[in-house]
Amino acid sequence: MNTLNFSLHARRSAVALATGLACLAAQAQSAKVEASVAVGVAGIDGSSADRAHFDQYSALQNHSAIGLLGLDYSLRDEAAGKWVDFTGSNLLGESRELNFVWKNPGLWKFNANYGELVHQDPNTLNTGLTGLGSTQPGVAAIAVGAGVNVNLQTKRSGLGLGFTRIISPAWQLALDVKTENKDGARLSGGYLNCITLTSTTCTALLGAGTLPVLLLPEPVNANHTQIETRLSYAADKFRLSAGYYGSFYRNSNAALDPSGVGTAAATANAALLSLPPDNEAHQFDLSGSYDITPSTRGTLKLGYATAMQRAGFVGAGAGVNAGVGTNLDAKLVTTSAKLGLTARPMAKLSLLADYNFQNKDDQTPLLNYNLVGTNRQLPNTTIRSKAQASWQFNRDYRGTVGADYEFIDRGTFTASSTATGVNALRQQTAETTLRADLRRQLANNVAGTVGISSRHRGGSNWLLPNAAGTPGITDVTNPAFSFPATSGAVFMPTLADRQRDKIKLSADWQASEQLSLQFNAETGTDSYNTPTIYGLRDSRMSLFGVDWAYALSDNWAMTGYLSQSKQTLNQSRYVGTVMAFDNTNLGASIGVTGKANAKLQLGASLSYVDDKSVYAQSPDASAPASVATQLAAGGLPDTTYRQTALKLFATYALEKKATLRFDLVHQRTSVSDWAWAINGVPFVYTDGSTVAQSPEQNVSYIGVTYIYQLR
Amino acid sequence: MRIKYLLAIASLVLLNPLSTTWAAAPVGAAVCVKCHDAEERPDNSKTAHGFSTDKRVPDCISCHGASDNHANNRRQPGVKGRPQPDILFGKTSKTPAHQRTEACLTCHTKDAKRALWSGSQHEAADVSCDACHKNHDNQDKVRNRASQPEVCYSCHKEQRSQMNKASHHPVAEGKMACSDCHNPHGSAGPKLLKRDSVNDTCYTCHAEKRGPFVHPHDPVADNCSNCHVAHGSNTSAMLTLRAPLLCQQCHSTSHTPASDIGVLTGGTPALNSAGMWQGRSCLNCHTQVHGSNNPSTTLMPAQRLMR
Repeated sequence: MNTLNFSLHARRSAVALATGLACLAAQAQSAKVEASVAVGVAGIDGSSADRAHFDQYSALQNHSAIGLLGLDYSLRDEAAGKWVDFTGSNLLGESRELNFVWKNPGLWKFNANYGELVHQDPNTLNTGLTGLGSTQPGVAAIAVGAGVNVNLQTKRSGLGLGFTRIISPAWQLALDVKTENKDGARLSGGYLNCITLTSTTCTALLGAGTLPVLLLPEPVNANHTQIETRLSYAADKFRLSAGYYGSFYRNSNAALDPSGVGTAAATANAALLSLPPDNEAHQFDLSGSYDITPSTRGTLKLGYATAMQRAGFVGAGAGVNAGVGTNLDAKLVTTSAKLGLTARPMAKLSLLADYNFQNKDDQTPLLNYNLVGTNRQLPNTTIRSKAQASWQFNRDYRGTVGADYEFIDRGTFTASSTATGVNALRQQTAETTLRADLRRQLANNVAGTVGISSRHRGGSNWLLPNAAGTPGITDVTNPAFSFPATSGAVFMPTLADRQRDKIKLSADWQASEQLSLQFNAETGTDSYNTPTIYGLRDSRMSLFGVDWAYALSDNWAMTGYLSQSKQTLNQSRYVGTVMAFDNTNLGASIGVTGKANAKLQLGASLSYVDDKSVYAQSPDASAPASVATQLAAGGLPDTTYRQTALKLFATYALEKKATLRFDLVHQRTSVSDWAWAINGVPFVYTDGSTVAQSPEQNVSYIGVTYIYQLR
Repeated sequence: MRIKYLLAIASLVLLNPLSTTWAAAPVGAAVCVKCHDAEERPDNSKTAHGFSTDKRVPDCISCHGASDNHANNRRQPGVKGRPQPDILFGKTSKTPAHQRTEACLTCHTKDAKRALWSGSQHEAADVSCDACHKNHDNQDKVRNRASQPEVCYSCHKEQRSQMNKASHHPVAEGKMACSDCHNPHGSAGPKLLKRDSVNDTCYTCHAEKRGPFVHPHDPVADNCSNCHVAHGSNTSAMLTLRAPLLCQQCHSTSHTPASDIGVLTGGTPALNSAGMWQGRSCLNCHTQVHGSNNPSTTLMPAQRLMR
């Protein structure tokens, strides 16, 4: 596909070759060697629609049968100081993993790994698009359902190399490099005004109900390379290390430029969608710890980082204002410091203090990128600190109290830029947390913990965006100020005053030598306070669960859990509806593993997930009558996701060196979601494209593997 | 029997450097093996602790302490049976957590990855090394990518519940582990994240979101978890809530007519008749929610993250 991919394949071959040679060389030595090869075949039933969720990360590519190959090699020559491990899995599939480690413990270590990860979108597209996955897809109108079915996927292929050298008992040097290619396409789209599918002219924006929205999958073809190196020094009381981390992102695609949308759109230059730009980041740090006394230790991390983005604008868009350069020339400089102190001044008392400071200085030049105003800088100063004390009352009681503080200053608003689409901003927020927990050994076989926390967040004055066409903001110093839009404005929950309270209980009970139980329950509430009653008002969460393990005999054991969690939130919006969102999630699992006899091992697990979201709407006083009419017609249906999975395995020792393994998986998934269709009626893109997922998905997998011990 | 035979040989190999010392006088770890014979001792011959020629490898006493009372069976008043070793590990251990941890840190503190253990959430919560690691075992679950989450879930139940949802990182599939994002041994980042911030940790795999962009989106640059639940959700892309609800938590000045956005408007098979709730909702048009680098100022500007 491109040079990146080619070079990665070349590197993959080189690693495989080097690995093989290393194993052969190592095998020639007199040493303890263990090696095995696993060869097998697997069959999967069900159509691609049945396998939508099952194949999300399976990398099976909708195949109905696949070969299985895995390798495992280990050499330990302690006299020669040589330890080699090599493993390979899924070698015949699309999610191969190869790991190679060669080390002389105490002196040096070399490791190489190659891994693939495929993510397949569980939705199936039906579209007339040509060149899907390229930067120039061709839009072609189709009748609903008359297009081609496509499953989008992305694939990561990564190669990692690492070397660690223990120079002396005090000094150590480590170097790691990882490079990863990501290819494929992911679900995206675009609002393209002036396209021939809706209008042959380009005189004005189209109204609601005729929005020209196109399905335009985003092409992915990028490389991300990361380098990390660290020099460490350790003395009896003092440890210090200096490190560098570099991250380099390179995207082969600058913009998405669909064809078939008409000349008006092209002339207006509205059809060009920018794709993620090349960027890079570098961080230098110094970190370590010092034992001030045998019971007092200080920790430290100092960091200096830069993030830069200088991808050229050519090909990413046009029609820019005069004076704008050829790239953004963005630079973000981050300085950070973390200081920590722990102490045990008395046998029963533990103290902890921690201070964490981070300052982001946005040095990106300000230029007129917008119809009105410049781009915006996003500086940020964050301070997080905590203090904690624990007291061991006696052998069975331990109590802890702590206080946390977080302060965020988002910097002065860039006066030459405009705030778009929000009612208000806030420069500073500060949050204080008080917490306490008590742990108690209730009996020899029962231990319990209770923890409570209370957090309060407040902030500086709200900042009101200036009227449209005028850059900048106005600091609202009057608490009684009536915000525009008849005070129905929404104030973002990430900046709003918030009270968060939480309580958590857990207990471990060793009921008998065979049976252990673990109970846990927690509940929490958030309530928001802003200048209006609109926006996110409150939310609540709760979770209850029990885990258990039971030893049936020396050879058989069972485990399982039952867990239920709930989340609710209430939010409302000006000229609209009050929305109550309720989500309930039930999870359960039971498993058993054991040895039937000296040759036969068996295992089974059954898991169940049931997740339901309810969107309850009701019109508020300001909502128009049409809203009530629409709600009376049914409103939003519930969305549900249920999955039951049965997994069985058996291994049978055919002889001393040969084992046969059977795997059986049966998975049933039920999905009900109005995002892409309601009552069988699909959401349709302007060109007739649709997106769908089968509401009932049943899939079975059976695999047989022959494992042979070579040595 | 064959396994026991192999264990015995492995133990002899492991303890070979000590054998000459034993012959002279049973001191140090040799005292331990007087009672704890090869059959009783667990097999850790495939671990780093079992690599006998590495000078850093500990013996029994390195971790369990000299344990004179235990070795010499000096009975203690009010205590039944032989006194316990000085430091005991495991679920039923009475040895304070910090003391158990210090036994490990004696050697492992040299690794820079553990430099910030002191004061970390796990340390402050009295979680000792043996709460997660099985030292006397060739298969330490927490060091295996596929089985590691099972260990973490023994405390982190909410995360287990989230990982079971439809949109999740490939943890259940064994392609990712908790330690790909978290450093359980201490870090400068929140939630024991590997890097110094949530965003910096996410960028190690999602560098395309880093920018900085011509048109940034404030909450994106602020914190990825403003919109995403990294452990999983039932909304595509692990969003905390689906659009437009999520977007409306901040944006209310746009699309105010209720007929335009606010309720589902039915589902007749006309183009986009379902308004802005369906499909990708707000993201149908505002596709560049992570930021846009398009410098264009023409119709439907990139400032609104539509280009």
